[in-house]
Amino acid sequence: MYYVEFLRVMRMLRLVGYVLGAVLLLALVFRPFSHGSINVNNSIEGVDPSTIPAHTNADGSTTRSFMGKHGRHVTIVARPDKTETITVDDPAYNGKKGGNEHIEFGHLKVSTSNGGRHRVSTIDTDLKIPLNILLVIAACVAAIVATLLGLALSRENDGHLELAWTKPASRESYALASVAVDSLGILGVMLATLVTIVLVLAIYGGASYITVSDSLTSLLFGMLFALSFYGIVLAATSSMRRGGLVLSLLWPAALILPGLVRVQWMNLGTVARTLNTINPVAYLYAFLSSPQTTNIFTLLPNYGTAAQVLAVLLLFVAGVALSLAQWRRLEA
Amino acid sequence: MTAISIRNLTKNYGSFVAVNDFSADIEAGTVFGLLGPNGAGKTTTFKCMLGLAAPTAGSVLFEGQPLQPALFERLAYVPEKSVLYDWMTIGEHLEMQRRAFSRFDAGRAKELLALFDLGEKKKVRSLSKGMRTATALCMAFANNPDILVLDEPTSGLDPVNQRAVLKLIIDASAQGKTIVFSSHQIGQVERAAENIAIMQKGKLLVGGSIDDLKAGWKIVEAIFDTDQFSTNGLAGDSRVHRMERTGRILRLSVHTGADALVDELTKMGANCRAVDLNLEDIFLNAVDPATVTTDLVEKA
Repeated sequence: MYYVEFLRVMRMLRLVGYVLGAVLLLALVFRPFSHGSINVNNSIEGVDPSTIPAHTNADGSTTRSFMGKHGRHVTIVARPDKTETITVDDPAYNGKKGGNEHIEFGHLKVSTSNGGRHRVSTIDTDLKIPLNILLVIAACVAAIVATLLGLALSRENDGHLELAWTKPASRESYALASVAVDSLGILGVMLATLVTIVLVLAIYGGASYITVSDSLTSLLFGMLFALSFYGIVLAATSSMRRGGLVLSLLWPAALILPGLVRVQWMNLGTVARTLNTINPVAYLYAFLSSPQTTNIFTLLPNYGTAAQVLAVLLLFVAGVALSLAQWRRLEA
Repeated sequence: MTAISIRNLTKNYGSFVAVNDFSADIEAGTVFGLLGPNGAGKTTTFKCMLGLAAPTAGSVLFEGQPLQPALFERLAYVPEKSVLYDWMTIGEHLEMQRRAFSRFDAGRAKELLALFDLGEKKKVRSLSKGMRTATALCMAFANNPDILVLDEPTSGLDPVNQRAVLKLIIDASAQGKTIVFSSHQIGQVERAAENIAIMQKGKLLVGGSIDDLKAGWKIVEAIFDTDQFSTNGLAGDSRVHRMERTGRILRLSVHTGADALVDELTKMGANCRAVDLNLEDIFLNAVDPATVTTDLVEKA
C-alpha cells in the first residue's frame, strides 16, 4: 500500500543526500585552508599529544607530559568532563615583560606567570558541543523535509484517488501506511543530518568535544518536533488537491508567531500565544530557552520539558487523526 | 449469478442530479456496456459503484455483498482520465500493483506491455493519452480480476490498439470474468457486450440484452432518384418511430410492418430494403427520438 509513498520518500532522501554530501565535500575541500583545528591539543609544540603515553589519575583524568621545543615542558591534563589544562613551563623564557597575564577568548583561558627568565603558561579549555544542540539542528532540517512529505495525501487528491482507493485496503490503512513510511523517512533525514554534522566536526577536529547530557529528551523532542510539522501539514492539506499555499505560509508564520507574543498592540500577543499552541516552533523556542517559558510562548502552563515533548507529540497525533478523518470522507 | 446489482442509485451534487434512480443487474461472466452522451452520468455511476463517490441514495451489491476493500483484490477499475503518477515509470506502476495485489501476474503484465508496445522504463509524463490508457489497462488486466470496470477503455487509442482492447475484453469474458465498460464507440460495445444500459441526464433510458432490444425492430432504407421526394404521411405513421433524411436517402426506424412499408416506398419509386437495427439506432432512438424525428419531418 505504501509503495508510492516509499518512492516519494526515497526521492526526498536522495535529494537530502545530495545536499548533505555537498556539505561534507565542502568541509573536506576547505579543511586544508583552515587554520589549525577546533581541537587545541592536536599539535602542541610540534608534538601530537595522542602519541604520548597517558597516566590515569585517581579522579579519572589523564596526564600526558613531554618535552617541547627549546626545553619547554608540556603537561596536559584531560578530565572526564572534556575540559583540559595544558601547562607549558618555559624555563628559559627570554622576554622582558614580567608579572601575570590572563586572557580569555571563547572556550580558552590562557594565563601566564613570569618570574624572571622562567615563565609558566596555563591553557584551560572547556569547549563543549552539546549533542542536544546538534539534535535540534538535525530536527530542524528534518522538519523542513517533513513539511514537504506532509503533502502526501493532497498529492493523492491531485488526480490519483481512483488508483489509491481501489487497492485491497481501507483508506485508513492506506493513509497510515503512508504516514509510517514518511515518518521513517523524516527520522532518517534527522539521523543523516546528525551524522553529517558530526562528520564535519570530526573533519575540523571538534568531534571529541561533543557532550552528551539529557540527550534522550532532546532526541525525543527533536524527532517529535519534526513529526509535528508533518502532522500539521498533513491535516491542513489532506482535503486539498494542492498544498503549495499552505507550505508557503507555514514556515514564515511558524517562525514569526513566537516573536509576536510580547506585542501588546491590539492584543496581538494573545493572538500569537493562542496560535502558538499549535506551533511547534514555539515549543522549540521554549525547549531551547527554559522549561519555564512555555506559558510565555503559548497558552499552555509551565509543566516542564516533558510537557513540551508531549505537546509536539500531540500535534503529530492530532494532525494525523484529523487528516484521516478528512481524507476518508473525500470523493474521487 | 448476479455479479453486480445496482439498486435505485442516485447521486446529487448540490441541486444537480448526476445519477437519478439508476438500477441494473449485471450477470457474472457477461460484458455489460454502459452508453450515454457526455454528461449522462456514466463515470459517476462507476464511481458510486466502486465507493469512490458516496451515493445520495440506493445501493450497489457485489455478489450480494456491499463493497469491501478486500473485494478490490478481485476487482479492477480503469478510469476515463489518467490517474497514473507522472513522475513514476510504467515499471514502477506495475511494481506498485504487484505489491498490492496477491493475484498480480508479472508474466501477463509483460505480455500486455508487449501487446501495446510499452517499455517498462518509460516515465508516465512522456506517454501520450493513448499510452496512458494502455498502461492502466495493463495494470488492470495483469491483476487477474474477476470483475473489470472500464470507463472509456479505448479512449485515445489508435484503431489497432482499440481492437486489441476489445479482444482483451472478449477473451476475459470468455474466461468467465465480468466486464462493465462504457464507450462512445457504439460499434465496439455492440461487438463486445451482451447487455447494455443507455443513460441520459443520469436516468436509465433503455436497458437489457442487445438481442432483446433489437427484436422486432427494423431499419427501412429507401433511396430515391431525386432528393426532391415527398415524405408526406410518414410523419404520422404509427409504424415509424424515427426518420432520418439525407439527400436522396431516407432511413426509417420501424417497429412493426417493415415489409409493408418497403412495398409502399417501392411503389413511390424508391429502391428500398429492410435491414436489422444496429446498436447506434437503438442508442439514437433512446437518447433523442422525438427531436430528431420532428426536426427531419419538418425539413421534409
